[in-house]
This record gives sequence, C-alpha cells and structure tokens, in this order.
Amino acid sequence: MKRLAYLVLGLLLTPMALSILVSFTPSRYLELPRDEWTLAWYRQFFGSPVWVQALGNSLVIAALTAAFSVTSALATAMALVRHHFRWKAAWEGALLLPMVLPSVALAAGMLAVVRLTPLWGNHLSLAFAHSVLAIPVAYLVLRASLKQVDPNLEAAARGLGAGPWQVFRFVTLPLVIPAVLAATLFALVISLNEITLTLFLATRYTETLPRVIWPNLRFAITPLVAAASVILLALTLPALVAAGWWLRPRRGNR
Amino acid sequence: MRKLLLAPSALLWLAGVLTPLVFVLRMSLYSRGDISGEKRLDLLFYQPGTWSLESFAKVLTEPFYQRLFGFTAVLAMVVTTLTLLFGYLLGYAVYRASPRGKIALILLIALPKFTNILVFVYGVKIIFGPNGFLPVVAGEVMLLVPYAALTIAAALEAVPYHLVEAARGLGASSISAFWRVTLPLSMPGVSAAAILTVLWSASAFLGPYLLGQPAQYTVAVEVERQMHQDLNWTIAAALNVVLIAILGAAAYTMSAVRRRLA
Repeated sequence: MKRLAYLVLGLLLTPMALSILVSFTPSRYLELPRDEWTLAWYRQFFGSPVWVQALGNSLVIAALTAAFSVTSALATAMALVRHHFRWKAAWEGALLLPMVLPSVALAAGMLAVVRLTPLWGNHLSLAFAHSVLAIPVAYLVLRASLKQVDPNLEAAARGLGAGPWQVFRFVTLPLVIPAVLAATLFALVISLNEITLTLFLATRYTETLPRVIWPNLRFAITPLVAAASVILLALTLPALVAAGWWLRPRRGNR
Repeated sequence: MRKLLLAPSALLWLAGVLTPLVFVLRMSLYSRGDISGEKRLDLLFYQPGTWSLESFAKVLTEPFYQRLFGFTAVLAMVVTTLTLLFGYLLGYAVYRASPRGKIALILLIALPKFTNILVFVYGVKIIFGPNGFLPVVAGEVMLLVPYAALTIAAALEAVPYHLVEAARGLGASSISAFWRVTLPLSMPGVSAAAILTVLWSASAFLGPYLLGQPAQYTVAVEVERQMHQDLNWTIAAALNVVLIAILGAAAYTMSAVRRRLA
C-alpha cells in the first residue's frame, strides 16, 4: 500500500523533473542530456525580445493580481468573519463560485465583455480576470487565519481608544500577516500560471509567458519551451517554500 | 463601514463573474453572425439584437454534439474513479505518516500544483508519448489527484486511529478494520473530493486539448475551437450554457446525496 502511494507520488513529480532536465539538453529535440549539459536554451530565451517581453508582462500582471485580490479578499474576510450578515452563506458561495465554474465559460464571457470596453489589450483586464480566480483562494487562506484572532484583543484596543483603522493596523494585521503573505504568494502563482482566461483575453501587447509557450506546446516543441517552463517554475517555487514555512509544526493550536 | 469592506470583491464579482455569465447566456440566444465577407467584427461573431434558439437546437440535436457531451461524460467518470482511487492512496499515506513526514508529504503532493500546468502537460507528453486517450486520462488524473489527496487526507485526520486499534483488538483483520471503520468515517472527504473532481474533469480543457486527438476533444475544447477558429460565438455560448446547466444539476444532486449519507 505504502509503496504504491510513493509510486503515485513519484509519477506526479516526474513531469516537473523531466522538463527541468530537458531544458539543459544540447539536442534540438526533446531529449534528456546525456554527457553534455548546456545553458544555450536559456541564453536563447533571454536573447529573444518576444520571450523577455512576455516575462515582463507576466510579472506586471501577477503583481497587479496579487494587489487586487489580496486587498479585496482581506476586506471581505474581515467583514464576513467579524460581522453578522443576513446572506452570509450566499456571499461566500458566490465568492467561491469561480473555483467550480468551467473556465472556458468564464473566459468566453469575459472576452465578449472586455472586447467592448477600453480595457481590451490592457494589462488591467488580465489582472482583473486573474483576480477572479485568485480571490477565492486568498479568501479561504485569510478567513482561516482571521478566525484564529481573538476578538477580545481588538475589543481591548478599542477600549483603550483606538479607532477602527488603528485596530486593524496595530492589532489585526500583525496577527494575520503570515496568512497575508501566503495569500499573496498563492495569488502570484495563480496569475503566473494562468492560461485559459489569458488565452481568450491576451492581445499582442499583453501576452504572458504561458501564452507564448502555448502555441509552441501544440506544434513545434523545442527545449526552449522547457527552459521557459523552468524559468516560470523558478518564479513560483519560492511560494512553495513559504507555504512549507507556514505549515511548519508549531506548539499550541492553530 | 462593514458594507464598504465587501465593496471591492462585490464589484469585481459583478464585473468579472456575473456580467460574463449573463453575456454568455445572451450570446447563446443570438442568431449566428454573418461570416461571408463581413467587415464589422461585432457582426462577425453574432447578430446583436436578434433572439433565436437555433444554437440550442443545433447543440441539443446534432449527433456531433451529442457524441461530444457523451465523450465528456465518459471521460469525467473514468477520470473521477481513478482520481479518487489514487487520491485515497496518497491521503492514507499522509494519515499514517509521522508529524514531520505529513508536512513533507503534503508539500510534495502540492508541488505539481505550483508548477505551471503547461510544464506539467509537457512532462506528461514525454512520459506517455503521442496524443491519445491514455495521455488525456493520465494527464487529467495527475492534475486532479493532488486536490483529491489533500481533501481526503484532511477528512482522515479527523478519524482517531485508536478506533482502528480497538477494532483490531476486538479481532478484526486489518482489511476488515479499514472497510468497516476507516473508510466509512472518511466518507465525507471522499464525497467532497468526488463532487469537485466530477465538476473539474467534466470541464476539462487543457488536458484533452494538449494531450488528445480530435476524438478526445471535450465540450470545453469545442467551445475554444468555436470561439477562436470558427468564430461562431453563439454555438460556443450555447455549449457553455448547456455544460453549466448539466454541471449545476450534477452538483445539486451529488450534494443532496452527500447530505443524506451524512
């Protein structure tokens, strides 16, 4: 049983390992490097304006997505955790809906809407679209953390004369800052890796890294795609390290 | 004040979720756009102002689309079955691991989810070879197993292991203790994972598109093809509406069954 579980886990990790290895191949085809390893594909990546531009677009859109989704998810979580609302369950359900909606349906609708607005071809439209997917995840992380905060601490600060902003800035925020960081990293990862909505909404000026990889993946696959993939992986891996730090065993209950 | 806190996400939800869905519904009811030499782009995709059920008639009656929905359902069932099986296996490994081992296992299970889906599909291509049914199923299962494993692991965490030890002490074999104690107590996790996996695999897009031949194309792939290649946005919208309706009904039924079992 246990051995079979590790076999499945190994299989899950193989695709990632393979694309890392292939990115160092000297061959023009998808072959594992045998004796010779090369950085030629990485040099080609950074020497190509198309790929570098895509990397820049990806980073801008990811930063905007993290800013939008974490601030609005934090505000929503504060409201829904601390206060009583009549339609609380409905609010949460609506907020989490994008997690289960077919992304092509969302993408088709967004394309039809965005095409009619000045946001078409703008980084903002992609950042908003990515935020629709990032908010549910950010919300779940922040809600879990806010529920752990003792409301008495906030009440004590209010009793000592702090205004609502001061209570948030000096009591609540410091207590949930690890969750804010985790939510930020999740939002960055979601945006950097998003392809379905991007496929529908990106124009020539807003193509992200996954969008430039996309046609290569379907037709002419070269190890350059593997190198691009590894660069994307290098951007998102710090998030996993942070997640591990967040999950580390601690004394006391969480 | 507290209402104001809800404003940012509510606005984004209205603009980014509700409006697109309303547009999809409205587009499914337009007449097809004129593709013969039309210069104005908006008339190319659909004819604004018209009301028509022609797209639904096509999607619901033409054998091509019936086969498409049939294949999508079969794929979803195969993928869900395998995902739950392997997900339970991994979830159980997490359950039985030491506290430190648990964290290492959870991170390793989540690691593929932090890698780009295209990197992942690319690796699946290298392992499973040329496009076809096997790579599609393998790819989708591998994409969904981490979610199922973590959901099931969370449910198993709530099962006290001394209940299993008690069953064993009273003479149950390890297999019988598993079937009669562990598995029933972890069913809430399994059913939650089942609902999510059915919804996600039935709207599979990237796996079938990148790892499949046209014979393995799903409803979601056909939506993309109609939007980008045939420029027939009304058919794409009708496919989306029917898909969402089916998924909604499936989710409703499965949650009702889940509540009854609980």
